[in-house]
Amino acid sequence: MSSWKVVLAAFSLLAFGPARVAALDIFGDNDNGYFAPPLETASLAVDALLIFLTLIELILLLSYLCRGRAVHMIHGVLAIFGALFLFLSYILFIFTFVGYYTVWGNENISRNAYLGLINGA
Amino acid sequence: MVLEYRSHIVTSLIPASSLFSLWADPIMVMVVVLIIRDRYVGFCKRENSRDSPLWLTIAVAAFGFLAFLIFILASAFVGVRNKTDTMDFSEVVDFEAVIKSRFNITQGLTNARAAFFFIATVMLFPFAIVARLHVKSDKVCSYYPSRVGN
Repeated sequence: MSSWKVVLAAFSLLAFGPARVAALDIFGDNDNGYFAPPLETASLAVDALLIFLTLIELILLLSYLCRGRAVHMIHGVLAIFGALFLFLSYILFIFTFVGYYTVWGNENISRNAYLGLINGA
Repeated sequence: MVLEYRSHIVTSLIPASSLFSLWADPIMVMVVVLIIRDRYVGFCKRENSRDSPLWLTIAVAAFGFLAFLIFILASAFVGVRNKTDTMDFSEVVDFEAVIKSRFNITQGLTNARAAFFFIATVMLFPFAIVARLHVKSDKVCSYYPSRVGN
């Protein structure tokens, strides 16, 4: 197999991998015949990828604090701004996450669970 | 009837948190691209050191366009989700259809953003390889032999 076929196979695995994993009956206990919809599983994988990407971004942006070469200095300023953005988003998400499970001010009104599920996705 | 299912504090926190985290993505793309570009401009031997080659300008412009698209998609994602949070459902007949369409829009924007990230990453490989091959001071991935002692 030539190298470009290997690359093509890898990319197709990346593209269709989540759907195939969702269709596999790994534990052999699927009696009802229900499998997760492939597009839904792929969307979940995309969301998880973009969430974990911020951690990699944070490591990469903070690495510009440790670089001594003068070429990296003015880009380091830009990187520090990006890292500050990420830090701010993490700090604000703490309050957002508390707010998901907290009702401030309108304790008499019960929340709709369906709306919370859709908007949290 | 207005469904106030979220407090005012959380409704205003979600877009701020999302925008801060999503605007860091195009910044990071441009940081990596500009580092490679400046290493090429700074360390490559050329006849006139002020000249920047045309392919480099086109490549950086392409990355800048991709970063701009990522920025636009992120802002649209936050705007659509914030509108869903603060929507007035008093005149809506088919409630579930509206929610599903909003969900499809946000998911499509997310998938498009991930696709542009993938395209930018794939574009970065030949860009970095070609740029580093022409840099004389690099010890690895260079046509030129490295100097002894440095």
